[in-house]
This record gives sequence, structure tokens and C-alpha cells, in this order.
Amino acid sequence: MRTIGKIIGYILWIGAGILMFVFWLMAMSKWLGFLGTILAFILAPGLVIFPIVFWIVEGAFPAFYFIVWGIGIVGLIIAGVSSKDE
Amino acid sequence: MEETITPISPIKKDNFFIARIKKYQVITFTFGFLLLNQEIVFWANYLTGKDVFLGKPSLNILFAVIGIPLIYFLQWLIVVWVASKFTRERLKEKFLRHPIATIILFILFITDLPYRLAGYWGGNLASIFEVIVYYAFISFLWWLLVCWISEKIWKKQRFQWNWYKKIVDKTFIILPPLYKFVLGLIVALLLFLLLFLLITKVFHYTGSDIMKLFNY
Repeated sequence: MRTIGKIIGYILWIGAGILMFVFWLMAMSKWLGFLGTILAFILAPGLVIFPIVFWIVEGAFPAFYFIVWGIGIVGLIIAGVSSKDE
Repeated sequence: MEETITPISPIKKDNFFIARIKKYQVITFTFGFLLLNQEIVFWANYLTGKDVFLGKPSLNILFAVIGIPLIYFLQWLIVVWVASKFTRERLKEKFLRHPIATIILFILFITDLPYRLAGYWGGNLASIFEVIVYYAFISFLWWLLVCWISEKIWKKQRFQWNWYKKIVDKTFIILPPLYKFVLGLIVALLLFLLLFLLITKVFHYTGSDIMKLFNY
């Protein structure tokens, strides 16, 4: 049971991380082309800097980024609670 | 010399259901998840008016509230009862003793599975998982019956292959964590979708950021 809890939590966390990275990668490649794609792998989006930059540049609040981030945190909580029981 | 007497507290015994829930956590979790999935599918269909199982609306509600949980509860009882009859070692011995029955029934299970799943492709992932688990359990019961008949006819083990023993050993190592991973993956995917839908509804998310990103 604890193992399943940990699996669910980590999949949610890693899945959210992958989606957030794809969002960051797409934005960077759209703004800077090939250089942006390479930079996306080297640089980190930062906790709030990237969403603010996205908001300013695109004119739309990156709600998707924060929703996915929130789901990732829920996953981390599930994994944490499942690990604590041991 | 002083002797300290420690009071012996009476051993607390869990009741029938709690003891079985604690002992068979993965089975209980599987049935809990499948019940939840079935309820979600039922209510989604009922509220959108897509599919009504029974004629009267009151009968449908009664079926969802009492019927579905009762069916899953009975299934849980049966599976737990079968599981309580076999330890891992005993089951492994049975697999090793009946290689022909195992191979034939496994081939039958694999070849028949696509037909069982024919109506579910492109549908709910949890329903596909449910069909596979349900059909695997039914096949397991058939296998038990075949093994029992075989034991009555042939008292001694006739075939013993090294490669077969290795496969059974490996299966017993791989299958439990693999099952937990697949179940965890399906639950995580559905949880992700549910949370995403919930947040989308609460915050009235329109997807404008994604549309801008992909130039729609």
C-alpha cells in the first residue's frame, strides 16, 4: 500500500515536472529559436521569474504552469506521507 | 531483590473486515479504486444523460448507491477468500507442479484477451485495467480447477523443465512490483486528470496561455 502511495506520488511529481519543462522548452524555443531550445536545457526557469517573463511577453498569465506545479506538490505530499509511515 | 511485574495487556484482535483489509492491502486498494472509477463513470453518464442502465431514475440511483458497492464488496470477499487459501510458496509449488496446464491456460488467456478488450479500446484506462484483472482472476480459477483435476488423475509430477522453473521464479519476483507500478500509474493518471479538471473549473481556466504558446 505504501509502495503504491509512493508510486502515485512520484509519478504525479515527475509527470508535473516533465509537463512544466515542456512548457518552459516550448516558450524558450518560440522566443529564441534553436538557441532557446539549447538554453532551456542549460538554464532553470526559476520559481517565479519565468512565469512573470511569460506573462509580460505573451500577455497571458501562465495558469497552466501553476496548475501543473500545484498537482506536482500534491504528488510530493502523497509520496511524503507514504514514506513517513515506514 | 525486587521483582517488577509488567502488566500484560490483552491482545487486541481486529474484526474480520479490518484484519483482511490490513492483510490484503493491495487487493483492497484495487477494489476501492475500481469501485470509485465505476461510480464516477456511472454518475458522469447518468448526469449527462448518455446512458441509463435501468428504466426509472430512482432505480438507477439505488443501483449506484447500493448495487455497485455491493457487487464490488462481494467480489472483494471472493478474491480475499481465494487469496487466503494460498501462500506465495504454495502457489509457486502449484505452478511448478503443473507446467502443461499453466502454459496452455496462459496461451488461452493471452490469445483471448484482445477479444475481451475489443469494446474498451479508446475508452477509460481504468476500465481496460479492470477487464484485464477480472479476466486474469477468472482464468486463475479455471487454472486451479484444471490443476485439481490433474492432481486427481496423475499422482506424480510428470514434467520438470529447468527453463520453466526459471520463468516461474522470475515471474514471482517481477509480477508483484509490476502490478503495483501499473496500478499506481493508472491511479496517478486519473488523479492528475481529476485534479486538473477540478482546478480548471474552480479558477475558470480557459487555456489562453497554451493557445498563445502554440499560436492558436
